[in-house]
This record gives sequence, structure tokens and C-alpha cells, in this order.
Amino acid sequence: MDDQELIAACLQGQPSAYGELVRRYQDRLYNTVYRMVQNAEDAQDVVQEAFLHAYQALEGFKGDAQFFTWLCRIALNAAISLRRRRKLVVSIEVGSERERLLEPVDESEGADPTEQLHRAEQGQRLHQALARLSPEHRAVLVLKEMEGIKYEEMADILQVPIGTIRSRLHRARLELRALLEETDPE
Amino acid sequence: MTLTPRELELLTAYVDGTLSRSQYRQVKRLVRAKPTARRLLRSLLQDSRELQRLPAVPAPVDFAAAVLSQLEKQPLRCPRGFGKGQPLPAAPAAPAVLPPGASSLTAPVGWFWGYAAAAAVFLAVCAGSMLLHRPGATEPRVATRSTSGNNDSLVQERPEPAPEKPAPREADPLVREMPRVPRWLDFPPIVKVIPDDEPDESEEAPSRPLSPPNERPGAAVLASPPQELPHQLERVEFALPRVHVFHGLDVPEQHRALREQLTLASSYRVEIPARDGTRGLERLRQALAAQKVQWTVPAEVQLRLKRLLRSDYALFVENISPEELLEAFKQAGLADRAAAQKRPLELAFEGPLIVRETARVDRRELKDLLGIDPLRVRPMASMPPSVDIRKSLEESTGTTINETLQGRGIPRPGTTARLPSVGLVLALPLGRSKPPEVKKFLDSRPLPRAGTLQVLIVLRNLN
Repeated sequence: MDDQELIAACLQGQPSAYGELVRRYQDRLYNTVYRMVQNAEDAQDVVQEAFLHAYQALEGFKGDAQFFTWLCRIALNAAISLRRRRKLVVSIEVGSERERLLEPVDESEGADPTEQLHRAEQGQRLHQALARLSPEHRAVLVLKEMEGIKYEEMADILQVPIGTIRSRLHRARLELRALLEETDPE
Repeated sequence: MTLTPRELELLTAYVDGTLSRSQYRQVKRLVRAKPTARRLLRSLLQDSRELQRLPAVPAPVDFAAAVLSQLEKQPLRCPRGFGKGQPLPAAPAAPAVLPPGASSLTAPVGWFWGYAAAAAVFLAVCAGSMLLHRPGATEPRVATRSTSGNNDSLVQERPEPAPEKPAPREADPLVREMPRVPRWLDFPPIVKVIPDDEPDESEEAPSRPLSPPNERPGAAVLASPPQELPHQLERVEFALPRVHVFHGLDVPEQHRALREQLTLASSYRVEIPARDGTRGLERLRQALAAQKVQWTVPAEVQLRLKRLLRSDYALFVENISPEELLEAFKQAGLADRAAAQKRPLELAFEGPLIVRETARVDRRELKDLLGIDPLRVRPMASMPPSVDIRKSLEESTGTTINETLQGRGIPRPGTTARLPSVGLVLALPLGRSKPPEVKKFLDSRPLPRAGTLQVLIVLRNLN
């Protein structure tokens, strides 16, 4: 069943259909939100709230956008608000053990342990730099680079014009680069 | 060698893959000519790759189960198939009659069913009145049903002292054209039962004996035999609302209908179901500000407006003329309609604008919100502050008098110079404690202008 059919079934009183939607999008949405809030607990709260809110507002979903886009908009708005509230709080979960465990292991014969370590350090630096970006800049980078979402869809999710997406992305890239150069060990 | 903003834009656009053919050639020339550009482009591409290679973090294993267990506690409230032949889902119970003291701002009342029940009760009472009582009586608005006395088993009417008030019209075309109203929408009780022992606070309804006026004690009465009835004496008060189309107030017929209703009383309650209460508040703010209405917006509401956090709001507006209020509603509706045409998600108001005269329950709610009943307690012209007639004149008295005569300083007693003569509105988030700005609002209330209204506007999110 596609999303529209599941939504229709849900609106006709089959909550199990919504369960299927949750299972379908939970990982993707969680990853996006996690990159935004940089904290597993906050990410869980935001994503759970987003699913609950979407469920209550399901009747208002017009189907003129993808369900994930709509869901993402709800979640990212909540995530941005959360980040603004905690602007000065530096996440202590940056490069957490959990994430390091999730790092894909290269099991090929030629895999160089030094290279793996270097890549892990790079990822950690990147994660820390992302955490220092403003929520708006982080959002466009996460959506563009990690989700591969197009400008139009990003504009729909963040509810800003496409021109704003372009300019935010431009500033976000330069800001991220500046932050990475600050922490560059070389 | 530094790069210009234009060159930086070209480089980031290259990473995003949004360059045109000519821009692409420009970038190639740029990186050939400037080593700084070359290094930066390489770094930007590297960053992009690193971001894409960050590992995906999946949701916890039991996440879906946790969400679904939460959903079980929050059943879907308005399936789209509602009313299209599908069985009705479990909806919150909607008592048509609230016990005295219940607040409709917080009580989850399914107003639609309350409205239907009220209409049914109203029709039954009217039919009973027509059959059993004075044929020349004016249409009742307040009826008393006596069930406590031995012989008083009949329904008696209290004639409405203000006969110009409109009778409820079941076949009102505006009601027929009513936009989709969600059935779980809260709405204040339209029928209120008051126990026999509660004192009648109503100022309009004169106290009358419960027995018919021409009945003499001990006189023979042709009636049913004495019966022991199970219920106590109760009074049923009707305050039926009218539903207007919020987005259609530029249509002459609907404009006229609302204008007619707004000229019938001095205070109203307006319920506006919203898709996004905060966005709706912003539309109303702009529309009322255009009518020179002064706003008092508590810090909490400002924060919600800034962050566009969805909330329910209560607005108390006063000193506003029916025309100004009507124009504000019309402009807010038009702005909302225009925004929704550009972008459907911008629609803030659901569609109905539900208006009725204030009832006692509204006064109680206003008292809960503001600490006083603003419909009863109105500001009066008073002596200017800091004048103590028991003290001798100060040296600065001459200066003060001169300033006052020039229209500056302390206003002259009995004038309204220090008070604005425009409308005033206070916006409050519903369901929260009284913010400190309420006192400021109450202190700044102007003297009432003749012919103006006091309005409680409740802006409530549907979901």
C-alpha cells in the first residue's frame, strides 16, 4: 500500500495503517531530527511528538505534498524550536559512543586501520561543526546532504521561498567550512 | 587573494549542482586563475562528501511500539469519512447540558451535539408553550420548568424583556451555508441548567411567581392530579449562536447578516475555529490594528507569535464599534483567503465564525481570565492621580496648571484626555495562568464610547 492508501485507511478508522506509516518513516525521520538536535533523547521526543501531531492533524493533510515532507516539516519546526531554546547548551553527545558503534566497518582486506581512524575523527569534527551552526543553516545542510531533498521540497518543509533555501545553503556551507578550519589539526 | 561574494556564490552553487552552462565555465576559469578558489572548492566538495558519509542513525528498536501506544491514548478525532456513511468513531462525549460552574473554555464539550440537543429542547419547550400557555406571549428566551411542587407540573414561560432580540432561525441560509465545522469543536454551553436553589443573578429577567398570574390560592384548577416528579426545579437558559462564513464577509448578504446581529446587543462571544490559532491571531492582530485598536500582548503570546507555536487564544476586545469589528473580521478573512490561494497551508481559519450574545457563563469565564467581570465593571471618569485635596498647594502647582491647560501633564478632572478613545484588545493564551499584562490592560481601559461593543473572541485550534 502506498502512503495515500494508508492515510485513507487510517482516516476510515484503521489505526494499524498509521502504525505502518510510522514504521516506514521512523528511521529516516529520526536520523534527520537527530542531526538537527544532536541528542538522542531530544530526537526521540521530537519524532514521537511529530508522529502524534501528524496523526491528530491527519485530516488536514491535503496530499499536495509527500507524506514524509509533511511529517518532516512538523518535526523540523519542533526541532528548530527546541534548538533555539537550547541555543547555548553544548551537546555532550557529540560523537557519542552509540554513533561510533554505528560507524560502518570496512571489512575489506585492504582496509587501513589508520584510514578508518582518520575517517572517524573527520566525522566527529564534522558533527561538532554542525552542532555549532544555527538551526536554520543546519536544517538545510541536513536535508540537502543527508536526505538528498530537492530545493522545492526543502522550501515546502521549511516554509520559506526557494531563494531563501539557496542563500541559506550558501551561507551554511561557508560557515561550516570556517568552523572546520578552526578545528583543523593540520 | 580574497574571493568576491559573487565568486563564493558560484563555488557553493557548483557544490550544489545548480550552475548553468555559462556559470560552470566561469567557475572553471575562476579555479584556474585563483588558487584560493581552487582550495576552497576542493574543501567544500570534501565537506559535502563527508556529510553524505555520516552514518545514518536509526530510531530505537521499540520506537514504533512507543508511538503506537501513545496513539492508543489519543484516538483520531476527525476522520475525513466522518458523516459520509461510515460509522462514527469514538468521539468525546458531548454533554448538551453543563453543570453550573463548568467552564466551556476548558471543558471538552462537543458543541455540535450540544447545539443539536439545545435546538431539540428549545423546539420542545416552544411547542409545549404554544399548546399549554398564553397564545399572545412573546417568544421565550428563558423558560422555567418546575418539577418540585405538587401541582406545578407545567412549563411556564418568562417573557423576554428585550423583545427586539432575534428568534433562532432554523432555516437561516447562513446556517445552511455553514462551512465544515468539526464536530469535536469546543463551544460554550448553549443550554444551561440552573438548579432551583441557585439564586438568579440575571439582571434582565424579572422575578416572577411560578404559579400562573391569575391563579388564586385555593381556587379549583383543572389540571392533572398531583404527581411526585423525580427532578428538582430547574431553569433552562438559551443563548443560540449564529454561524457566519468567516472568509465570505465581503459577500453583501453575509456582511449584512453579521452587521445586523452585531447591532442587537452590546457584548458578544465569538468563536473562531482555526487550523493554526497563532497564525489566525496574527491575521486578527493586523486587521484590528488597521482599525486603530490598541493591543496588549503578553510576553508569552509574543513568544508564541514569534515562534509560530500553535495555541488557543482568548481575546477580549472593547470600545470597538460594530462597523470596526465587522471590518476587522472581513479583512482578516480576506487576508486568510488570499494567503491560502497562494499557499494552501497558510490557511489559518477553518471557516465558521460563530457569534452569539454573551451569557452569564461568558461573564464567569471573563472573570476567570481577567480577575474581574469587564462587562459589569467599566472604567469611570475620576480625579487625576496624585491629587490630595487635604494638602496645601505646592510651589509647583502653577506650573502644573499651566501644563494641564496646554494639554500636557496631569489631565483635568472629568476629562478623558489621558485615556485613548480607541478600541482595546487583550490577547491571552487559553488554559494558562493569568499573565501580569492583564493588570496593565485593565489599568489602561478607556471610558466606553457610545455604541461600542465588548467582545470575547475565542480562537481555537481544531487539532
